[in-house]
Amino acid sequence: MIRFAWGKNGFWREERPSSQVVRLEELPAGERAQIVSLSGPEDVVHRLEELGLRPGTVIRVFRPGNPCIVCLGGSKLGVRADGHVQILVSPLPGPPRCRHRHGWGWRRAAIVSPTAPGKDVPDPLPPAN
Amino acid sequence: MAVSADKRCITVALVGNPNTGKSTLFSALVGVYQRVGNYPGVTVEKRTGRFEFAGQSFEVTDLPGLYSLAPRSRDELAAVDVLLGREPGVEPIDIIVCVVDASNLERNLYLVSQLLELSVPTVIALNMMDVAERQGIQIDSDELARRLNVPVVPIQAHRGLGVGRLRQVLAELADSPRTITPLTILPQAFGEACEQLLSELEKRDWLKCLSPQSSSHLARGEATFSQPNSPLKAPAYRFWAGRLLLDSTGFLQKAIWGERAKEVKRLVEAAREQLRRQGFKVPQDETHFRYEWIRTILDGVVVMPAESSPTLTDRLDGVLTHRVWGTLIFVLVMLLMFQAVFRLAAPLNEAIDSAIQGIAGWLTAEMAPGAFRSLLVDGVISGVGAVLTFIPQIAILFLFVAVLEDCGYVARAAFLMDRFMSRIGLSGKSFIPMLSSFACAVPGIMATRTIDNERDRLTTILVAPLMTCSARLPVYALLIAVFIPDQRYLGGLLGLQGLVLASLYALGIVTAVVVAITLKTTLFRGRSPTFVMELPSYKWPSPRTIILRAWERVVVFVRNAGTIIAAISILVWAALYYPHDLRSLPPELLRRQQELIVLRDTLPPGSSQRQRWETELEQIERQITAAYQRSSFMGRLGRAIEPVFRPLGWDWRIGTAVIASFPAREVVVATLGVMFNLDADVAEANQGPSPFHDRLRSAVWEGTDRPLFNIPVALSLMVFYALCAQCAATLAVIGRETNSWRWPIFTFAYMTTLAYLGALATYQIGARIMTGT
Repeated sequence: MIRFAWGKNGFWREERPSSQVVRLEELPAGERAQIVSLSGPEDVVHRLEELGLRPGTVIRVFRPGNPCIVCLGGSKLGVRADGHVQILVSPLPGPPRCRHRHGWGWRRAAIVSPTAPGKDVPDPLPPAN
Repeated sequence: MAVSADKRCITVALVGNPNTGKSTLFSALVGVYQRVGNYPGVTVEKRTGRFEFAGQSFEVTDLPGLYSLAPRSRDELAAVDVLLGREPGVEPIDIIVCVVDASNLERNLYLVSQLLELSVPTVIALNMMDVAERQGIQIDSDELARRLNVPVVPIQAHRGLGVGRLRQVLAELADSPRTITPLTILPQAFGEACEQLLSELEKRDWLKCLSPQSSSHLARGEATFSQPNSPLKAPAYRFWAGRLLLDSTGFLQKAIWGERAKEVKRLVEAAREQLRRQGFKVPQDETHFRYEWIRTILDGVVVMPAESSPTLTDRLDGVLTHRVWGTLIFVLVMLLMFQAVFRLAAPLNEAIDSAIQGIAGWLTAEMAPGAFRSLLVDGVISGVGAVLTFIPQIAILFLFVAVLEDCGYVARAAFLMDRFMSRIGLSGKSFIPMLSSFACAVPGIMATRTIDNERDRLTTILVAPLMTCSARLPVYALLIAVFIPDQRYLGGLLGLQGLVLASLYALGIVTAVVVAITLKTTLFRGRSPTFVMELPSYKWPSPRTIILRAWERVVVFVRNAGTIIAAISILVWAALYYPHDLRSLPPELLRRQQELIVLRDTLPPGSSQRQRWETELEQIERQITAAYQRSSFMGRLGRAIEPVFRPLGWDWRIGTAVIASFPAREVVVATLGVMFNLDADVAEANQGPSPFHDRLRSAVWEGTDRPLFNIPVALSLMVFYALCAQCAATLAVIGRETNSWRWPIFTFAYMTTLAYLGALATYQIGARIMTGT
């Protein structure tokens, strides 16, 4: 089940400058990123923004691909950005932590970015119970 | 202003994001004394209940979950209309209780920021405090109340904690309403544009479309609507003006002004243009300013934990949303659900069936023959019976769906299926309705309410009846058992009969996919909606919520679908019974009947000759029934349009049975039984080889000895039933859910056309193969 996009981004991610802007669906699992821009029909973008998916928000990818699952604030959203809507994000430095290391059938994201975890951006994840 | 509230009920609206425990709080507030109905014209469930506190009675309305007050569909508009008293026949709202998820304050406050602009007294119920605490989130609720300038009550709805305090706060508000200064979050320029738009609308006297039906009780004397001379300052008008400006789809103009929408649009465009010149970006700036406000409100009020580790929900999601494991589990859950629906419902169905048969038999024995008995037995009881036999499986299905909804799994299923559904132009949200339709299309169509895109919803509604529902099974079971040879392949693993049944299921699914793609590229063309769905935290389903929800839906089903099925059954009965002319019968039949009655009575009961005569008498009576049906209106119609059925390989009797099965598909089994003058014992017909099966096999074209049924005829009949819309309940529900008669007619037309063409092709090709080989 290795997806092309995953392989591409996963293997060559380290070479990518951290300021690079990519599409949301290209982010690998566990990666944190800041939303840069949303484009598409006004009303759809407006609804996404109402739900908190707006420029400046920090999200973490829970399930990569399209549709993907992202964590933001205290919630998880399933999002499919198709041809009409584009969500551009800028990956944040920090170890791509695996969100559910106890689950089955899920591989730990192997690549650890050399940069130290950035504490300047608030953690968007819901804390543990 | 003190409220003279002793006589009057204070109306409270429960608002909040979906999955914030709003319904749980509702149940905790009002107990089991709740009613469910529908707002006229839309499918928003209207859930109300009452409670008394400190000598004051409160009527609580539970509104559907909203992320924002920006209405984009008729259903969302209805919810907003209720809040602002624009909904006719609904008491204006005195107090809003906004349920807020403490573990996700930021997003939840977005809706609060809109509610506080309405200047309706508002209370914030800060729910799930325990969850937030467990996650290490600290919330200073007193400071939050001070900053928002409204009461904030921390509660744990599922444990009933804080509910008493909430009641108390409501009673205090009812006793001494405060003057409310509406919040203004958006910049000055926006307010000016709203006023400009309102004054333009007022000049043309178009403002009254926005006026409420009656003014809020508590806010009277405050600012809401009570100053007809200066509506420009009234918060509710400003709210509407703001929504109009920010609604880039033009939906609101059309929904509120109808035909005049174009002229209104010009005004709105002008005001919007002015806004743009002042640097306000429509509509993005709304979210920007609101989230900025939320940031300042929450700054210092909420302390988020520094470290976070995976929650149980995260761990479960690691498996349940996985492409392989998640899909596997999903398939298993669905299999389990269908097994349960069919297995558990079967004994109940049989019990209901035998009870109905018993009543019918008793009535037949007790009453004198005639039109009235026939109406009761063949019309009313069989009509009501058709409804009742649906109920067990529908109730079980509703129960399962309610469990899956309440524990949070439905959102995951929608996520998993989105990948497939987006290929056919729909989104994952269409999946659950389609799935429910395998049991019955009626709950499936009712479940489309969760689809927020109107085009998607209509497409789903129109293809849902193509799914092989349980009402088709009796028809398939009968025809397959009678006409499809019981051949086995691969050492008995694969049976021909099973293969035919499976291909009929596949036919329904493939046709639905093709029709959905066709509809999405023609009638409902337009961009497919972006799929966004919140995946709420898993929780243990609450038995009370589940049972209440399933019960409500069953009641709605019986009330809506049931009455229609029963009514049409009676109509069909009348068409098959009248004119009931004695002269239309062959005289020798009547003569023989009289003879037999006389002869029978000459012999003592129990003698073998008498039994022979009685058997012959029954035979004759069945022939008389058949002869009456032949000359009935329906029979005449069937014979008149026999040429239409001939290319499908059907004679007038099959055709009439098919037409008569319009109320519900499975009725065809009973009608075929009567038509081929046999005991109408349907229960018997479904079990193994019986005289009924032999009779069907040996039926011939009238006046010839050519066999009527063969494999191509049986197949064409089954294909017809796979694709046709012979179900009055489904059509009625489509009419209700789309609020128009156009769509049920369209559904009936397209499905009947497909069914006819499919049956035609099946018979013609089948007959060629039969004669060719």
